[in-house]
Amino acid sequence: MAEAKLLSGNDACVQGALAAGVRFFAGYPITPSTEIANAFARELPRRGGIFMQMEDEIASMGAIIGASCTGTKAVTATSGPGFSLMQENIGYAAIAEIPCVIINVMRYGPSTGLPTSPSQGDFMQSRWGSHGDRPVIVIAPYTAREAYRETGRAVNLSETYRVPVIVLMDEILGHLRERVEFRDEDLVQEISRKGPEPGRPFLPYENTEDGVPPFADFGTGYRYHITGLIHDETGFPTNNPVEVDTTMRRVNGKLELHRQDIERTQFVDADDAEILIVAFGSVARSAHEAVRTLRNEGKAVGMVRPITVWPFPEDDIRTAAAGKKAIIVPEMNLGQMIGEVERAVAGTVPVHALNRIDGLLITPHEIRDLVEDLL
Amino acid sequence: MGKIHEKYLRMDKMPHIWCAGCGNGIIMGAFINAIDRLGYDKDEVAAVSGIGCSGRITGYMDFNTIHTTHGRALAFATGIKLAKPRLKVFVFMGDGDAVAIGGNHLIHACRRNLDMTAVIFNNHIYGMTGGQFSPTTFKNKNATTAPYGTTDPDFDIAQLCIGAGATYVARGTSYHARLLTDLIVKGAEHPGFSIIEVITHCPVNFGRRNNFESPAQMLLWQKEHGVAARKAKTMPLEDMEGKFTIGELYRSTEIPEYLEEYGRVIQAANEEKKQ
Amino acid sequence: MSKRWEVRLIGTGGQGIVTASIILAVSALREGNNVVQSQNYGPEVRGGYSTAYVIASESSILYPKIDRPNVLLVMTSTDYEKYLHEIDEDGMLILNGEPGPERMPDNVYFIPITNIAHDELERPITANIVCVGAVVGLTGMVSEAAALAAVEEHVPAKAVKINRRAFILGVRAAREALAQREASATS
Repeated sequence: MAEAKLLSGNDACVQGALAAGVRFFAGYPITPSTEIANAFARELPRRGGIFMQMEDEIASMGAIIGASCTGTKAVTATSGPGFSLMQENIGYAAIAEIPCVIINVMRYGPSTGLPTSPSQGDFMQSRWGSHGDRPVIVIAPYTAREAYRETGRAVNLSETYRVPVIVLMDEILGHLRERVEFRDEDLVQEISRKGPEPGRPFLPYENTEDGVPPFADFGTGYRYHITGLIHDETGFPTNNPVEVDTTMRRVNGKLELHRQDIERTQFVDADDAEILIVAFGSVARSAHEAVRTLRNEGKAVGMVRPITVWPFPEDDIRTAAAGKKAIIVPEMNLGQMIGEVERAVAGTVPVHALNRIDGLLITPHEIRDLVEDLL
Repeated sequence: MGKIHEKYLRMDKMPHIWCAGCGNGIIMGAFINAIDRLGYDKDEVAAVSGIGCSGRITGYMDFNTIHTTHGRALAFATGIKLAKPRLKVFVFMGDGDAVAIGGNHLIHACRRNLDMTAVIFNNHIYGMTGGQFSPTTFKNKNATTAPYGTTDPDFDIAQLCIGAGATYVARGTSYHARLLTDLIVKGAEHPGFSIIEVITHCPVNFGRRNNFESPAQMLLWQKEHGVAARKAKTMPLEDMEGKFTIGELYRSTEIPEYLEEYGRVIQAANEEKKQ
Repeated sequence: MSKRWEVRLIGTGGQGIVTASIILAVSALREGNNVVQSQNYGPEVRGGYSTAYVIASESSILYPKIDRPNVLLVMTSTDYEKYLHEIDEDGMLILNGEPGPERMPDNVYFIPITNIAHDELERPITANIVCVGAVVGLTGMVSEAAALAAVEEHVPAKAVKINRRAFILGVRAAREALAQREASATS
């Protein structure tokens, strides 16, 4: 499809977003995501788009939500402390159902932490970081090629389901450059949110069968109201318990209806494995390497890698885990995804943690050692 | 007047939540009068508000409306305007929105000079949460978080905005309703970021605690303390003690509007692309 | 390329170490290899410790880090003993400077990178390209032609000529070092 090139994870996100039709970026510089802002600043004006450096991450989230209200596909990017600051308006986007994409290049925390060191400490924050129950899709690529394709997919899922989508990168993937050769399956389609149906009364928060109401862009003749207050189908505030319950169940349940379309999981030699590794992001590169080496030695080990990490692919994990001797969950945190894995297998298979919190990537060697101990 | 209400308000959303005697309705009235005079198509107007009593204004008006998070209305509005410059964008904030939690957004919006018009409802108190002091509450006033009187000095919003680089700054009151309409019209027509600070009153949560017997008395206070900017220039300084200026306070056309400047960025980027 | 090359470059910020590693990566990529390149910086943009690396291999590169490089080039020190234990047992250590009188281990090479850039080219800024030439000349991990093409792509248009010379002088110095090593081995 195209010539092989050297592409960084951060640049790949930008290319993927542009291919999906993103024409607005607002952000605030922060290591290790800054290259994303730099690239959008260079590329968007060339496409008639807008790059905006805001005064902070709170404003950046506000600005992309505002831009999205007009029908413009909008993205922001951040890391660590900036991601924490965005949570308030991510919650807003979730309940007001405004499509938007947040690229979070995870760095070591809490607080200022280790600004140039990787971490997977935002696995839970990406799902639960705002107050209240809110839906979100979180996607964690593990190569630059995938960062391109998955950021494009993030934009499209956000448009399709009117939900904020987080691309969960980390410092290692963001900063490395690697050979990328795009193939046909990497082609990013441009999908836009569905609009009001002509001739049918427009209800901005209609309880549609597919859980996703139509979106009217500002300035297209539908004068309606958007609010972060819990609202009824008309979009206006309500505290009627029945209406509140209906709205919250639809907004939080809509992704469940479309799991098949949203989930994406990679299985590596999982079928006949005795030991299963469940890993995501950069750590999955080490896990994959460990599987490759161990398989060459004839050892029965495999990997399941959630690419869509939220909603968590519990069925995939449960199916892959059936009859295994043990599961290993390596993470660059003190154990976040492991809780989801344990919940999925519900005690049927022992689950072992492998955590590293010294600012360095878990090595294939460490994973191999644990596999061999358990075999 | 009645017709204007029916044209611009979502009458099915009445009654509004504001207390009897509140100034917010007067400001909303002045605003829809301004829109009527400006002749803007309702489909082309975006109204953006923050949180608190003032934030509810967007729910009552028949435009493209969005009620955002506390203090962040300007950030949302910035995205709307940049992504669809054709829209006429109006932002409604309270004093808490504008100069407490959203103070950072306010000064940067002033600095950028994007063509939007912001109306700040300055009632010197947090009304919706029950009368806590705000950054514009005067010294020695009573508030639920200042049972022994306020100690903090207060912000002068208009001066703050002038200092931050806003290119149109005006101050009105809910007493001088017709003047307020004039100021909003001029602000909207000004090509750049316009701020209209409105001194208004919260009879329930400010007046009651601070020796105002009625909303009318608070309106009279505005009448007596608001001095036309032009007149204030000729008055001895000591006569202005405790008073405030109203009218158009600052206007500059020297600073280019943000999107005009951004046009140059797009041009430069495209020239580089051609090379 | 039959082996997995793991090359690490150590310098100070502003020396162009990252660019040098990108040039090596692009050269290897053009020759059909898989590559991963990355870097670590100190928080200081100039003057801090800077290390960049390249992994090049025919097979796909999953683990994107280097534990013990098989080529380590150090711009900032001639203390070979300090760096010798950081490399793979078959690895090569390249130091920026002149060798001392003592006998070196066989896998340690000295290339006067700074001197070449400063004295022969009179452009200290080209040291990173001398460094690319030295690595290519000593290891043969990529062809000189591929490396030279990548150099020309990654330097400013007005500085192509001087950087081409920088690369060639780096390669030449590498060849001399190899010849000298061979001579002393046979003597």
